[in-house]
Amino acid sequence: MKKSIFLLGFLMACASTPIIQPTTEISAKQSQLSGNLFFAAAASLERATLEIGRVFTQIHPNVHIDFTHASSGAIQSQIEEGAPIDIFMSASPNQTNSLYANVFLYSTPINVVRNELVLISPINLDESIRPTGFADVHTSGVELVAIGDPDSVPAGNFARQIFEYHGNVEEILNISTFGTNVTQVLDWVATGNAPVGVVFMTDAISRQEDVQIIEIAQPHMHDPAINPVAIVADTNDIELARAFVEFLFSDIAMSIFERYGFSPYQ
Amino acid sequence: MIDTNIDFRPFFISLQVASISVVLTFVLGLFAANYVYKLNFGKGIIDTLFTLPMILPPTVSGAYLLMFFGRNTGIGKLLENFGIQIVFTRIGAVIAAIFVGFPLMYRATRGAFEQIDENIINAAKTLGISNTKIFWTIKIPMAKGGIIAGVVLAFSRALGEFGATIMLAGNIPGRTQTMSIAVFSAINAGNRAVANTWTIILTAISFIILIVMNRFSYKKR
Repeated sequence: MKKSIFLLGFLMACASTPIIQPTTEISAKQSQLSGNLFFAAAASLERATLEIGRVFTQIHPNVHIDFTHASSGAIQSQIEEGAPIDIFMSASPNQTNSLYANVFLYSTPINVVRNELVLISPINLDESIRPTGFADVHTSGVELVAIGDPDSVPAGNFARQIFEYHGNVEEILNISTFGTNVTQVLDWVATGNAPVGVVFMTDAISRQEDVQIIEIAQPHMHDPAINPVAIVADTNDIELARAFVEFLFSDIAMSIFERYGFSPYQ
Repeated sequence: MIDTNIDFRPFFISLQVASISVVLTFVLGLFAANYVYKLNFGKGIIDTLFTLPMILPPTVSGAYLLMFFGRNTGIGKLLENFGIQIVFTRIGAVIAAIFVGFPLMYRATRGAFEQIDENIINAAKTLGISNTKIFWTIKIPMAKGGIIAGVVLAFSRALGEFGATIMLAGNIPGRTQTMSIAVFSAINAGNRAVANTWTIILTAISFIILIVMNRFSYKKR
């Protein structure tokens, strides 16, 4: 009896190994990795990076990752003030480029994935005030537009560029409420408190039961919405940081990014 | 490093929001205190409820306010029918300021009422003075110190309110962006000079408030 239970357990273990095996094989050479990482990522990357981090720590059980998620501008300021961040993944190259120019980074930022910008509204928005796209937001009858703070939130900066392209940026900014990060903008719209907003495609997908996409911005309307990653200059563990950055480009990580709506940069 | 060419609208928005809210907080706090301190039954519960916003994290206060005044929930939906919008308006900022400032006014005033010698009030009653007259001519003058402290505290709390305000009233430059929110936005955007300017202005205002408050408490002695 005891033996058969043991056998059953063994069989179950065998049955479940194929799922884990590929990842353990890939990283067999790195399995000795251990230590702590502090990983800062833009709010739009929260769910994808948390999941990637979880997979990474499953492969390397001796590694512990702390996460912080905020607007890219806020993280940039924190790094400039000496926050003990090892790796920074931004929602736009502006922040990482500025950090690099001011020698806060260990190496040049590397582009990981792309995103898109979308105009969204609550799913039940009154048809009579619903704009048809970025171009007529100011004439559609909506009295409020939610965007990220253009000076610190990449999605807000892209939104400003899109409205500049359409020539209605002044009218829009006059009726804009500035979110402290893109997730706040998403929530303002998803709860119906703001009638329209501009967020990343990945944000809109994450709340598709609450928001509808009105228009996807064409790439020529704004600077490329690229998410670069960079290792911070005063990281405590360059080996570990490098291993994690490499892991972001692995097939496993890319498939997670894609599942959340990002597309590979390459 | 400061910037003297900043957009000064947050200063006037903050002062307006704090002034309007402190007037309403004063009235609400005064009557709430007068009501609660006389209670015999259920005093503990009501007192806890009235004090709760002081202890709650501002984000929790903001979550409650959004729940009540949000455009798709509760009172907010009702008011919308009358054309009144709370979320993302200055009214929302005032409501957030009242919510967090009320406990300070209420507690300071209640404490002052409790210090009044019961014999004085009883003596007034035996002389046939009405309760209303006792309230205005005996209780209020005798509780003056506590009431002023409450007003000053509620005003400063309203001036510094951030978490609940940004959740309920948003961050609309020229409409709902207060000084505290302006500091936050400037720091995030890396505009150190602007952030420093607001930091100095807010520190100066807080300093003045404390001096005024100390003046009043010294005069009493």
